[in-house]
Amino acid sequence: MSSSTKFLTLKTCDDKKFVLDEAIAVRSQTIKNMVEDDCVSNVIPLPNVDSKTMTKVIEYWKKHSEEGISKDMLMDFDKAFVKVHHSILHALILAANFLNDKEMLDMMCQEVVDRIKGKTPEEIRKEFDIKNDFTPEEEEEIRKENAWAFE
Amino acid sequence: MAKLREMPDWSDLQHELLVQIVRRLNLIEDYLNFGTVCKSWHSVATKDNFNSDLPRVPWLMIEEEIEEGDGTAYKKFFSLYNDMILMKRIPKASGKRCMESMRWLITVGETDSEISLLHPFSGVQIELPHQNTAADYETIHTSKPWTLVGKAVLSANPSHTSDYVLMVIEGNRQFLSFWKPGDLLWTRVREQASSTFFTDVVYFKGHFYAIGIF
Repeated sequence: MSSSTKFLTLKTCDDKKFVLDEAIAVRSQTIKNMVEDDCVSNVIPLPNVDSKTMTKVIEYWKKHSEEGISKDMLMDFDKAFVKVHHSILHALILAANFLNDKEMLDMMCQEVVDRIKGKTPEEIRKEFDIKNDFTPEEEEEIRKENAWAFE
Repeated sequence: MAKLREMPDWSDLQHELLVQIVRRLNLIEDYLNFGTVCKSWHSVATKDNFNSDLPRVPWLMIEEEIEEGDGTAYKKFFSLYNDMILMKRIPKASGKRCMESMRWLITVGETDSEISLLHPFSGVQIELPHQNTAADYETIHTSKPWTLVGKAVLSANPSHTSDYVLMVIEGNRQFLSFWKPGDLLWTRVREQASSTFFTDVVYFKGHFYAIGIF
């Protein structure tokens, strides 16, 4: 361990602690701001992230911080990384948003988009367990509202 | 005690995150489907959030649908991408036969046979000389006068220039006639072609090309 390596302790909402190299943790703009503002004491609380999600986030951060890793290897990693149940995808989006990791958030949003493309509304609802809260009349109304699509 | 992970509610996702997602849908069909999933998703799938410069696959205009209640007529458009059907009110095209060229419609009234150029979405309409100004109208017109024009082709987009020609196959496909802005009458290209049958006409780099059977 080099003398310059600093470690941060992150505490998730379910009271699990993660000790992480500061150089990796500052991939989160939120954490970076806290470090720069010098308001980091011992433990950084992450009230919006649970430990299961944080484990995934750290897995992503570590892989993307590996020295000498090739672009192809990262692409393969990312591809596998996003193949998760939609409940985990949902949690990762919220976490990436709270931690303010734009790169990760972009990747997660793109995965949602890829799961939507080419699907009917009913298929999209099934994919994400969404309840249709429109009445048939409202759905019919939407079809007519869509006329702007031609402009 | 371990807390059970609750099923996430995607309809509950923060507004700005939904916006981030919907802005990545750059095909109009996907975009509109997104907006039909649930109320909260619908609230972000607005016209302003759609930013796509991608070329679109043309939509096929299919038959008109008349609403039972108030009798409002909607033109229906069919997506070749995913079979989606969109509806749009185009009052000036209602009850008329429509042909298309350069994103303009050539409309022919079913009862009066009035013929016009119509930009379907701006509503701009250019009236054309009536079909009955054509020579021999009385002898060649059929029991369905709105079928007199077989195909209509523009040489340029009337939205951009007034220097254009509209060429039509007309009169039971026996004649080629054209009209240009300012003309009071249709002009026939071939006068004595009773044995001709025109099957198609196109415009390409300054010339009209027609295919006829002689």
